[in-house]
Amino acid sequence: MPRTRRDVWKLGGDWNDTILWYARAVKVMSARPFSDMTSWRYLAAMHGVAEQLWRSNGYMKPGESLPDAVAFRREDRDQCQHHTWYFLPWHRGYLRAFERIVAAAIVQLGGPVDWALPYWNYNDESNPNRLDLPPAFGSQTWPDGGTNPLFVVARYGSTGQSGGPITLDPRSVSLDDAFLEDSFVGTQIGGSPGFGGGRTPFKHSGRGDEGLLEQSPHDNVHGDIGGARDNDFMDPSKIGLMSNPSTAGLDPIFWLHHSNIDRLWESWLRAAGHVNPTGDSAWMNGPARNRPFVMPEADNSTRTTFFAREMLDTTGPKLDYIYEDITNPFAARERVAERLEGLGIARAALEAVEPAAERDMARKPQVELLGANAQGVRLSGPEAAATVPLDQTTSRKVLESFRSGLESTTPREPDRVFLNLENIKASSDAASFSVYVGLKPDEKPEDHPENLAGVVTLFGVAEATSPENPHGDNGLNKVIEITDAIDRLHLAGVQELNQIPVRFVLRRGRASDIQIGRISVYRQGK
Amino acid sequence: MLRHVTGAAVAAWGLSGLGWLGLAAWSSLGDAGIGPICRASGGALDDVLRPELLLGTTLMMLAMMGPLTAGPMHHLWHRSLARHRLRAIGLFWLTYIALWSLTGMLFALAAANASRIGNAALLALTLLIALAWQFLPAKATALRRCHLRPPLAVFGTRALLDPPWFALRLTAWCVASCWAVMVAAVAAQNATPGLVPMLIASAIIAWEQLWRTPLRSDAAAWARWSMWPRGLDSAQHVGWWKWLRQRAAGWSASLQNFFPCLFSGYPSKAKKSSPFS
Repeated sequence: MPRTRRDVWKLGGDWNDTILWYARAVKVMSARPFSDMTSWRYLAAMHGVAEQLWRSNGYMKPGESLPDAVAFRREDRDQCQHHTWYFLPWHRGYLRAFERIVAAAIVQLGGPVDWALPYWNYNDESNPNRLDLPPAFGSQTWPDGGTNPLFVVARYGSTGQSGGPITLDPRSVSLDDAFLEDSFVGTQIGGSPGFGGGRTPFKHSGRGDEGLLEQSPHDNVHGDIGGARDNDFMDPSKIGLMSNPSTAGLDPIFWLHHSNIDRLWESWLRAAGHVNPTGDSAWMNGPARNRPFVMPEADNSTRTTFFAREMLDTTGPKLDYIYEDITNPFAARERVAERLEGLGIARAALEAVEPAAERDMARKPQVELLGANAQGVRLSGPEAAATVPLDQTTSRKVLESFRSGLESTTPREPDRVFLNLENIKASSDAASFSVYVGLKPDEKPEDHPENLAGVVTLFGVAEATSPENPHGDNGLNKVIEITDAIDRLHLAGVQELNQIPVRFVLRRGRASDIQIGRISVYRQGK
Repeated sequence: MLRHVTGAAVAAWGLSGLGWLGLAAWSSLGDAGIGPICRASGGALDDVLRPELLLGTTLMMLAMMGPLTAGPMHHLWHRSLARHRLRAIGLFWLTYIALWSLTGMLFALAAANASRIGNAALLALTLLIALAWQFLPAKATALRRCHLRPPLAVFGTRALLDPPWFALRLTAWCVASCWAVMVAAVAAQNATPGLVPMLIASAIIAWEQLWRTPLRSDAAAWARWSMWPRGLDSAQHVGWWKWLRQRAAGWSASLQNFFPCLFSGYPSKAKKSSPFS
């Protein structure tokens, strides 16, 4: 009988049995020595560990050191996969190990044998509280008395105050881009990063295209919850646990957030044409290179290696869990058809449009650079503007794709266009900004939500910026689709594409700390 | 599997293969060919700068350093306008191979001069230096910078200058990373005929830059060496004896990363078969 993971908001009451037993298990696991593979800290360190930050937050005491075991140093620690197509399968294996260890602790405490990790569904439109941190996690007390194990001091949200109310920004949890993307795997550099991310080997941090689900809601939710104490983003010891990959696993809410991300993967698959890249042996047999994915078992002695291919069937005996709800809220929508309709193609003519899966199989996308600015941009204030000049030869291809695609008797989708923010460097993982495209100099971003291209949270940027880290000093790359903005230009009758105005609006962080190495624009056509 | 190999990787390894073929053909000529590259008799600059030695050194660097350009070429290809891709890669390669050839000739000159102290002694000395260098923090810093992927200008003069500038920076870091292995290989070439020392050096360089997954624990061990004051500061947290043991563990982890075969029992607990399968 598979475990059933349920929405934390639908479990009934702040301290329902599922949450109460979770808290008890957290307490027990937190008391275990760091070197115990089933301890709270060992599991968190598998995602990432930064010794100084753990000490400054009180998770390592004076005189205490990181586990000495070779297995910890070489394979277990700092394993999380980000900015890679392994993001989803690795985190699924991580959750699976965590859930079994927590469940074993609950059984030892005399709790239910069928405990399952809940998820935080911040996208449930029927729940007015969906964006609020579930109350049990924000309370300093709990039914068993003493300090609530689910409460974390270093959780600052937007107020910058420990213990303050934490509410996610609705823009942070947008699923639009991720769920309307048909392909799991990203195309080439510069084009769509796909639902699940770009092709990489084992990738703990650094460059590489992160998938659309990883960008939003994953990164944004991390930053919205973590924040920074007193909104001081320049002191690493004041950054909230959830903001940084090397501390995030210490926060009990981390696991409910990732349970939801894992659920959203299942949900995305419930739409026509959405499939995992099971035909791609590099993904199925991944990770490539010489470092495996490895997780501890609840017996505290066995470590198990796994591959992406083993993370596909949640209902099979290997994973053995289901979600209460994997409805795809976008199942009735089709990105290409919606776009063509928006561009004036009559619905009757859309019958001729090929289904997404057939289209993708038929043609390999062509991606090429359309233009880039020369100097990048430093966010020197609450707002920063940049103009991306476009190459005329290439931009004519984009315009031509509108003409040939829309005037055909069997309409074809014109080129998609993507904004790339390359080599983003900053010292604060909690930093976040919104990106607007196509605003005139005198237009205010808040008056033009239609120009909002995306919200960027720099989860993992400190490590990607530091030259002390492997592959560091290159910063992060972000890819944001701006096809809507190009469509609006087409509908406005624009005959030439010379430049794209981009506006950055700071949400969190110190502006002068954020440097974007290059802003570029790519076209993706068939 | 082949369909996942990028065009850049095919080009990089292809160029390298051409370099090795050229060297092999030349080496079959004996003293009329490859031999003098690394055995310039008098160690004089004129000896090293002979045209055939310049060509030989260039072939050598093409063979040895070609595979390292797969990532940079991939970066240049995708971050340049379509009609500028080949230009960008050409400018990068010209600079890259010129700089490496210059470096190779300097190595050959140094080895030829140093050979006066005796080939066996020279070989032992360079091997010792190469081994020591592999464990120094500066080496790790340089190696990490070999994965540099800078922003590239698209328009104007900078679009012409950025690829060679990228090559210059990358070559500088790569020379800093693998000079010791290269010098040891040149010294070994003095002592033994054939291309074997160069092939071994190439394998080491390619492995550490292309296959070896950089580990955070490794980086942390380096950091403890390279940032001594912070290391000493952490000693106050954990106590001196324990701190020294941790340093030893960190150095041991680094050693294991480079020579896993010395630790054949590892990993002791990980199961080969997975309950997922």
